[in-house]
Amino acid sequence: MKNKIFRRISLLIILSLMSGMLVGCWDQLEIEDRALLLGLSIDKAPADDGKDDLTTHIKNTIKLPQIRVTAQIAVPGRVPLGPGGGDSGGGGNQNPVWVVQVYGYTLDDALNNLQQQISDPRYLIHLRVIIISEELARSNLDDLNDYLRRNPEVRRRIWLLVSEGDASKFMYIQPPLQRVPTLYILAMMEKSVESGKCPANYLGEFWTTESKWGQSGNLPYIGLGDKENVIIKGLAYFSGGAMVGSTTPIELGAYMGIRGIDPGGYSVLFDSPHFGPVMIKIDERFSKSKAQIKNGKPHITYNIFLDTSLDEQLHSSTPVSSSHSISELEKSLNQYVTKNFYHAILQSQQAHSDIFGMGEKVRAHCPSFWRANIHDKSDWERMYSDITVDFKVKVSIRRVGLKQK
Amino acid sequence: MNNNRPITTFQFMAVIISTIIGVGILVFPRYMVEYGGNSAPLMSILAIFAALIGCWFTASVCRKYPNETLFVFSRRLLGRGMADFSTIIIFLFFLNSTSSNMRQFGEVCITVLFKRTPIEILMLILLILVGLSVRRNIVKFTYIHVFYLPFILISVIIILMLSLKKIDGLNLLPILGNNFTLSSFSKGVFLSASLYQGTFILILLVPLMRKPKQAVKAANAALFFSGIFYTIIVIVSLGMFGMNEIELLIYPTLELARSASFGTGLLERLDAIFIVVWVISVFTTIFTNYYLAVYALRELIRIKDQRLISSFLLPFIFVLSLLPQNFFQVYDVALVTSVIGLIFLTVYPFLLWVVDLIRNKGGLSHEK
Repeated sequence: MKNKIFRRISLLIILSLMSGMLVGCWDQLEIEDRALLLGLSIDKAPADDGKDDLTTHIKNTIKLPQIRVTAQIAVPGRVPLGPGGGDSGGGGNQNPVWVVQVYGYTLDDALNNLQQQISDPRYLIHLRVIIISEELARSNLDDLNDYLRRNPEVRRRIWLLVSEGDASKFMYIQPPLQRVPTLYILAMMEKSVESGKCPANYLGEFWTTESKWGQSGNLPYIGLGDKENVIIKGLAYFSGGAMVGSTTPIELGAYMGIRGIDPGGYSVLFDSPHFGPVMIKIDERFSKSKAQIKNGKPHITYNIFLDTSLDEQLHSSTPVSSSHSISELEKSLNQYVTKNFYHAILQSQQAHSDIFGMGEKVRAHCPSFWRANIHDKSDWERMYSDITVDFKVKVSIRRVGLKQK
Repeated sequence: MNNNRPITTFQFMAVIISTIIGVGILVFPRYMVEYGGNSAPLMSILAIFAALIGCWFTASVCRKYPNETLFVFSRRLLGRGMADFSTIIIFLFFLNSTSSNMRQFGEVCITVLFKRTPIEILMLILLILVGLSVRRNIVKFTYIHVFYLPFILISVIIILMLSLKKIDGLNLLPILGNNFTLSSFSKGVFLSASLYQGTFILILLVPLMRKPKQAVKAANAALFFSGIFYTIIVIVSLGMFGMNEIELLIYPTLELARSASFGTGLLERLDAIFIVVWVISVFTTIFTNYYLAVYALRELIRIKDQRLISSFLLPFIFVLSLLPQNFFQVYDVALVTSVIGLIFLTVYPFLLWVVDLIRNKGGLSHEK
């Protein structure tokens, strides 16, 4: 009897001691005590700035170019959660984010310097947008990606954007649409994906394509407008791990057309020989392609179908009013679109940047050729400039709107 | 009758499946891709058949002695010395397997979830939990497995289905891979086959099965099911990331869960759910390994007290799991021992099967 009571009591003590383990206090940290980074911008630092915080190394031991990191940190309690939160938040001039600028040799070095300045531990779990300057993108992105890949807090659904000019200015914008600047940029990108203006090239997508031997990475290329608005300026394309050029927005449309990325979002203003200038809106894109080896060189054939509608016609002297006239317009449109596609391909070929992933098609469908000729990613990027591409474009104008003539 | 042999064929299969699905799911695609590139799915399918060999011999030899565990009848077939020696190897193997699984679990938790919690605490909690569960008999052991299996299967399948739409078919081609060499392909098959050693648990279950004659069929079916499950994981992660990206990732399957989402941005970060499920699957795997180690030791020193041995082994497993010095050592040790295990757990049942065949000329005399 005594033994039993003793056993019960000891069990009770052990269990109550162990219950402490269940709550997981070790990693407990209140959300107010975290410095949540929402957005980051990374620039090359001007040479000889002399700004070295020496948090991770001894003076003059690191021979790397410096970068400047500007971070947007959410201020706890001030980030509005709903649409009505603006007034009750206690005054309009309280900024929901705090922008901090630091210098460092690497991204991690810069973030360590940042940590040295702010009291709360930094967290990247809510990081949504990283903007890098074109200058930095044109050097090497691999070093940057290494840190982001290793860090388990970084999600693959972050937007990595290349900015025209300085990247840090995006961190200081005060958009009227959203109170948190990063969230404005985020919403801007997400909505442009939904409306077919921009492919969903998240950071994870960029990593995946950059890893593939038969494809080169590409990132959205953005600029800043007059009124602190963000403009999607096109696509920044990469070769050998560094940015080599950028497209115009309509070329971005051509890129999405060749890859068949839905929904269609771009409109084409086209001066047709018979009907005058017309505006054609692309509604749906569909693309099929085939890779084969012709004369010892890869040859890609694209079959592209574009479903479009007529949005606008100027000089309505010869109106598009019958099935016959539509097919005539389609014919000339086919030629025009095909020319645009060839132009987009030629541009990327000159830059040795296979953003269309043609190499992947060759790798998948002509493995023996691939094995004999391609031993590295750079092999394909070199070969890409010489391959031949064939387009069979079929543009169909399905609708003309509410106007008959 | 039913009270003596309470385990149904379905439960038997459930135990094997939930044992096989374990820590391996996180790293499996990377291993396969490292050895075979794009031929990874093919490799993992072939591996199922390689693993079936050992499983078939084990099950069919156990079927012939439906009233005893392998530890008991091996003494009759091989003689005490040989049988005890093999039992020692089995014991050591599963002891090591328990600690290695435990360490891998700790490594994942500490890199991904709890950065400041000491790894010892993470492992100790799980170890105590498993240690307490191991004290129970095989019937309760079976029920625990059967209870947890649906949680594991359903949630992993949901995450896989969410990722299906992101698969790029080009990433899976060519089926034989771009750098096919027979040696690395067969190495990959071999390695992948070593994932399925959990089937060995059937030696403890057969004596309690309601229909021991179905053991072979059920074990093979369970192995096949888990093999297909693993293959689908490989296909989905390969299709989503492509082989070059997978080689860069330590835990491709976790990365898969991290990228999965309902809609666009509606419900993200499914990795949290995935990790919870994964912890359960790790628990069931470690549970089986621990149980086998305890049982083997019990048979070896001929003690009936399961509880005593369970508590006795706990500190040893804990220390053993803390031995590897860094992340890479953890996985190197795990790889080497699992390949040794695969060889032993294929050869040993085969030996028993052959001896039984020679001694009994068909072995029908033992069946009831």
